[in-house]
Amino acid sequence: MTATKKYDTSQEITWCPGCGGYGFLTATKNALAKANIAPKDAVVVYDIGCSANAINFLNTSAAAALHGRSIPFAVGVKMANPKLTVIAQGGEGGIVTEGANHLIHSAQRNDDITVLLNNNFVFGLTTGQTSSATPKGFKTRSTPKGNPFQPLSAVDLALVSKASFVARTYAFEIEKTSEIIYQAIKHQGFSLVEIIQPCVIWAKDLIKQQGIWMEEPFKDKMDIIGKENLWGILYQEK
Amino acid sequence: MKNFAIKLSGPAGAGMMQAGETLSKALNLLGYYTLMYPEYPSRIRGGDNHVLIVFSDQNNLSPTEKINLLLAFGKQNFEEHKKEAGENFFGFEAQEIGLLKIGQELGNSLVANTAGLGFVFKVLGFDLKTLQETIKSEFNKKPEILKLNLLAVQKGYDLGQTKYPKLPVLKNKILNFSGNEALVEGMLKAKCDFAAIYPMTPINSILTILSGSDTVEVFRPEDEVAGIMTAMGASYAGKRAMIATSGGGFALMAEGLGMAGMAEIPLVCVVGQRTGPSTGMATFSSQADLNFVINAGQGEFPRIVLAPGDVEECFRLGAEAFSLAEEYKVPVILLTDKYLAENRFSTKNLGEFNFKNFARKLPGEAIVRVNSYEHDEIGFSSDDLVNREKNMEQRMTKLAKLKEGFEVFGQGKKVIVGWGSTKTIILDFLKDTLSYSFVHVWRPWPCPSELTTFLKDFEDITVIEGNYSGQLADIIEKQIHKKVKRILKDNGRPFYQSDLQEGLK
Repeated sequence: MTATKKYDTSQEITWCPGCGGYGFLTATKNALAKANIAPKDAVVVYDIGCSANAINFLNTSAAAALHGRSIPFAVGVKMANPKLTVIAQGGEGGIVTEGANHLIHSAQRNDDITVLLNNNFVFGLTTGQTSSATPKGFKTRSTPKGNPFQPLSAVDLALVSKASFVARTYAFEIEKTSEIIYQAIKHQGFSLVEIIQPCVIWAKDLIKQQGIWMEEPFKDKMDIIGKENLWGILYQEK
Repeated sequence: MKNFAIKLSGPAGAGMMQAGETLSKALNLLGYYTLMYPEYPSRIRGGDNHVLIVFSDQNNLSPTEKINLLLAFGKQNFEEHKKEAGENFFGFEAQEIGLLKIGQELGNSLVANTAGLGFVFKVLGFDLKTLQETIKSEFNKKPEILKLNLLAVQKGYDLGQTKYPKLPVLKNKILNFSGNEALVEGMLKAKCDFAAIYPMTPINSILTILSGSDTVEVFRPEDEVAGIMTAMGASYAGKRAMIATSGGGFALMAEGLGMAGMAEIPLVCVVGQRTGPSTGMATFSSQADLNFVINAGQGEFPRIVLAPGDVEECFRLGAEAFSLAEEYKVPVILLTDKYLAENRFSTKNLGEFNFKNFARKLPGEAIVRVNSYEHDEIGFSSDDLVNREKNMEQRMTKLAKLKEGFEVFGQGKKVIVGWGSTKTIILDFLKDTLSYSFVHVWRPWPCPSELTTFLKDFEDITVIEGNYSGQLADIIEKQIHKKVKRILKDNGRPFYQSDLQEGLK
């Protein structure tokens, strides 16, 4: 697609074959192109982790921040220059585990940023330990007998923290993901898009996800909370 | 004249701090220099809040252990501070002299402190008019409260009797600032326009003052980690950004500080020291975080540490910090402490500052990448060894051009070295002796190379600092390859003149 060419870089993409990151990257480029945002006017603030390596793969203004801290850096960028389109990227390690405090407070303040959360269910780069979003019972290198804890849901955390746009999508559904990211970018106020992309190396058994696509956002948050198989734009205040 | 010391003491909530500030400003209007040193426990009501006001016709004042005049609200407070009686001492207890009754008569117990100021003014033999003027300028936006306070101050004044020889009204025009206030004046001159501040003693008044500013965007983050990240984000997008915190908050920011160093994002960090380690003595002063701010963060990256010693330096360095951060694209730490931050000092003039603009590329104008990873010129993450070596060299040598960093007073054969808030206390000490030279280091890091050259000529070097181990002394010994003497104090209280006299014997 020529419209997205301006978001390409010269750098080699280092993700594993089959990784959901490719879908995420394509969808993000599609969304930026559809929103007609010049590379210099979009600031993507990256966390640390596999998906965050996209700082080398996506041609926009960018900051590679610290683990768990992409949201507060993004908040500062937006406060300094509200004309910029500001995206905070992070895995579930960064957004839900290390930096959940920033997620809930940014949602509470309704900061005008978009959080793109790449949920691969484990810490990938550090060889597959549990994160706070790893399913209960899942065996990893840090939980050989199975994860004893219930996973935290970023969607639920954002909703109870008063986020005004909350969505969940599946990285392998590129068209739907592109449109959801586009809608999130267009949304005025805080938006969260959780992108499910189970790790092809450390969470192989979780790759096949069955979700129910929602045609319309819910009116009542209580219909969403606790249901991890709902996909689409789940909640939006206009 | 000899420094004159007044102490006001009362429970938290009785308005001792406010009274101390009003009294200081009234004395300034009479042409006297003042130092106001408050001590208070970490509580909102009750206990013993006390404030020492030292005044003189000369500046550079220091806190005294002995006091000349005491006004205490409460028997216990009176008994406690009576022990500090010095020459020509007079002490008064508020209830005994009828100040509380004035509060009751006026239907507001809170004005007893203002009545007390009237009383003190009469005891000192000053004309009430000046105090009335000060009170008017303090409450000019609250007519009801002003009326009440003016009644109270008159009634208090009428209760008193002059106990001291009459002091003249001086022609000096004197301004009154806390260290934090002077720092903010400087920051505003440097066009600081973004501040992320999570509250913490002793920097809270910076948050309060900036929150009333029209030109600074103020953000109260969810924690200190968010604070430094938000400030860096704002700086990246074009703001002159700062954070302010104390040691505990700065500990949380250490990882962010390293990012500012690696990504070369200009950032100003105010670190107001208080007594550590850990929560320590939260409302007491300290100079024990010098090593910490010099070394915070993993890996090696350049930073500048500025340590103002008086309100003029708070102003000058508060402004210069932003120029240095922009010019060198480094984090600049303004290292103050509770003594400097919350004390009130006086000066004829804070000074001047010439604003300098430093252009840099901003997102929205161009594609701009900053990166906490090692990165190439475009901003892409890179592990390339040639690139790494080139970048390390570039970053680690960029402060080599820094000049100055210390100021020398006096011409004595022995030398005293200090840094930060000990400056005025040591200058007060030098008023009575010609035996010493005094080097005040206002930029402890990078430690000025000219300091080595200067100190070479001295046999007798004494470093004075408010910590247990002698942190600047260690740095200096390493630099001059010679042992220095140390006068150290780490009990939360400031250096008294007796500490210096004893230590230098």
